[in-house]
Amino acid sequence: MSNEQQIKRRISTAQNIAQITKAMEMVAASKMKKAQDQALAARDYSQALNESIATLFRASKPSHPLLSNHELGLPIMLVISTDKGLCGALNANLARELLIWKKQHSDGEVICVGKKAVLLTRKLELTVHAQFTDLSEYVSFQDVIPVIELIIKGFLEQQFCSVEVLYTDFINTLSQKPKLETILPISKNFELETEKEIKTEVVQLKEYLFEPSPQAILDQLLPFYLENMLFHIFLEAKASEHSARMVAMKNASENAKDLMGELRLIYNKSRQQNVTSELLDIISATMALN
Amino acid sequence: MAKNIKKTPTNKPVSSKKRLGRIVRIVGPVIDVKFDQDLPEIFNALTIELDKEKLIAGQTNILYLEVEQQLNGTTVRCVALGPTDGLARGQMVADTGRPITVPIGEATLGRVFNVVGESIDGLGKVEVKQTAPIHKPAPDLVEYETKSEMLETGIKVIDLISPFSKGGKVGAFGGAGVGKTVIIQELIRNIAEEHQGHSVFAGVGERTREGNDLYNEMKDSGVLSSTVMCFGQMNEPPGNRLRIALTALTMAEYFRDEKNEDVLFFIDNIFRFSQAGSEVSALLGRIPSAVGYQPNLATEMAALQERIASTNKGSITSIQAIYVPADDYTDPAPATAFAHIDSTISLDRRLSEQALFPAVDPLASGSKILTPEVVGEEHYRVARGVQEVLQRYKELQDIIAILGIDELSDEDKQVVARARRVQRFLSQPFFVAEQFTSVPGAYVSVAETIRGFDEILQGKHDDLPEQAFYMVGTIDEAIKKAKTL
Repeated sequence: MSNEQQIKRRISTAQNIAQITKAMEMVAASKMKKAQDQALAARDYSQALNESIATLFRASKPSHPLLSNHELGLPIMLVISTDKGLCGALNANLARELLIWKKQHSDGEVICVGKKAVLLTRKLELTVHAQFTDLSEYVSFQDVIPVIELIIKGFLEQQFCSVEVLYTDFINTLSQKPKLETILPISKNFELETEKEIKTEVVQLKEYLFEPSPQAILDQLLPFYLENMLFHIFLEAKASEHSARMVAMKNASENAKDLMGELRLIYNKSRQQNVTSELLDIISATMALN
Repeated sequence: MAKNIKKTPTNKPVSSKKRLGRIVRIVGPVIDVKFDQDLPEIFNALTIELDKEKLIAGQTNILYLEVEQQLNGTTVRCVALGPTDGLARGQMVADTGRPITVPIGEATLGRVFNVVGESIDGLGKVEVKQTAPIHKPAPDLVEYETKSEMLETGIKVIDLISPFSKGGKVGAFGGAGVGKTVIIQELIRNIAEEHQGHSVFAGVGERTREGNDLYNEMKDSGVLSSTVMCFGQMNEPPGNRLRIALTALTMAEYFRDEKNEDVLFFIDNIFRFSQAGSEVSALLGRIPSAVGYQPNLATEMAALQERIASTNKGSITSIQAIYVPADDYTDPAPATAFAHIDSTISLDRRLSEQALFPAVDPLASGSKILTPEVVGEEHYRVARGVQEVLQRYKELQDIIAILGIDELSDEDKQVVARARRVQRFLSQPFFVAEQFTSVPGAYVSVAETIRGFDEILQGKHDDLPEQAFYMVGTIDEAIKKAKTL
């Protein structure tokens, strides 16, 4: 029967897909391990750097072009997505957040990292300001530098009024969340933090000596802080991507297996039905002839 | 078969010289009768006079038999059109000299009959001027009418995918409990109540309760006075279920041939006709054929179906429910009926499981008249567009099941979104199902149906939630429903 052939074809399709997803699951699993280690190792360093800048803020009220607010220029969104698909709902979640951002910043432009971000931005009819695609599998500092240079330059030349970053925060292998953070102006981050701290606990401000001067330190420290922050975000995003992909492929393999099971059952049933009805026909025919 | 049928003129008096015989064998509904003189002809009606004291309430004292085979020079094998309880060998049997003859004409309107033309509605005997035998040849080749014109039903999925033609045959195929009878009853409500002419309903082997419901409903809505109903339901012997469709058809043929009318003819359920044939077949001594059906399955079906035809005198538009055993469309009984049908409505269990009523599968249903020449370019384009989108969705379903919807390309995501909207918009609240759904029924004109689906396909309503399209009439109602969600 044609129906049985159709079921057979569907079984072999599911089988082929399962083979691919199984292979991808294993590749993603090995990459995931490395990316997760990198991301977790970077966390401590970023944390320490954040704290030292926070201390600097409390100790002196510094002024720096990167810290100042200005209204000129466009709001910029840096979206960090993946180059490849098949990583579950990761990019779809980013799209949802980006849509919300779009409603608040109708004139905003997007800097895209990863091919999927470019597609996403185009689909939402936002302007792509710049795009960085085909990054290496293992993120290095070199990947971050051009991105951060573009951002700092744009901000200092007052092309951008603010820069936010949207990426997928790595929580654990099974869960990743889209996260929105402000990169520039930097003060937005620390003002909130310091105000909160002053209110809650009267921090004993230690006396610090700055050598050569707070200004000189900031000139060095702030770009480095940004580079490091972005590097860390890249690592988190990469770890999320591989985790999401591994989980998605694992689910896909299991779904394919389930589907194959269901189809096989239908196939066997209909085949058995044919056998039975033919047997019945033969038996009743012989009975009638006797 | 046609050769066997003697064209008996109606109203021919029963010959005064009755042939008499005696029962020699009784096997359930099949009875052998021995005659001393020459044998009665095939399909002749024989009568047995029953003992009046042993009758069940409501039963008449005449039991009819129909001759099916002449076994030898003296014996005929007959099917009983009534219970054979209490019969004994040696009992006297009389030949009426002609086939079962039933009343026809205006007097039958508003009445309910059994297989031998006796009224069973408790309103007394039907006084008629004319009667006709239930076995007749099909119309001649030259008498058939060929023009095609669409008949509006007010049911979106039917009007769009399998439009009915006036004078055509429609089959509603479906397994147990997917909604065949509900569709037939909705069609009766929508067409028969709008339709000016007469309609005939044949209840073949279905629930007696459904027949009673229908009778009362027609009485309330006032269409009963233009309707003839014939019932041979599932509690009756196979002979009744085998011949009741012919009884009803004979009454419908009167309006077509003598009044030159356009008649509506409903049958629920034609599968029971084949089933009854199969029940008596083995007892008649025939060797069972494929899946245990009678070897003359196709002939038997054709003898009935070919008579349901539209001629140059008048037309019979027939709407038939066809049960599909175990959802297997390759079963010989529905497959045989399928060949005679112009518009097929195929009901799918998977849709009824998703509560998408009517559960008509738009990919398996179709109509002979769904061509640009008959229904118009616009209708044809939209109907094929709907099928295309749904077909694509069906193909993608395995991939969605494995990888999830997020992995589809944007075009495919759009196709899926529209297909899901189309699927929901194909559902529709029914007037006859109002008591189950508590949603008032909706009648949608063909123009509105086409406009609605066209707009969905064009993507005008991509922003409305899927739920807004579920169980609504026109597309405007969907837009209104979206605001309340």
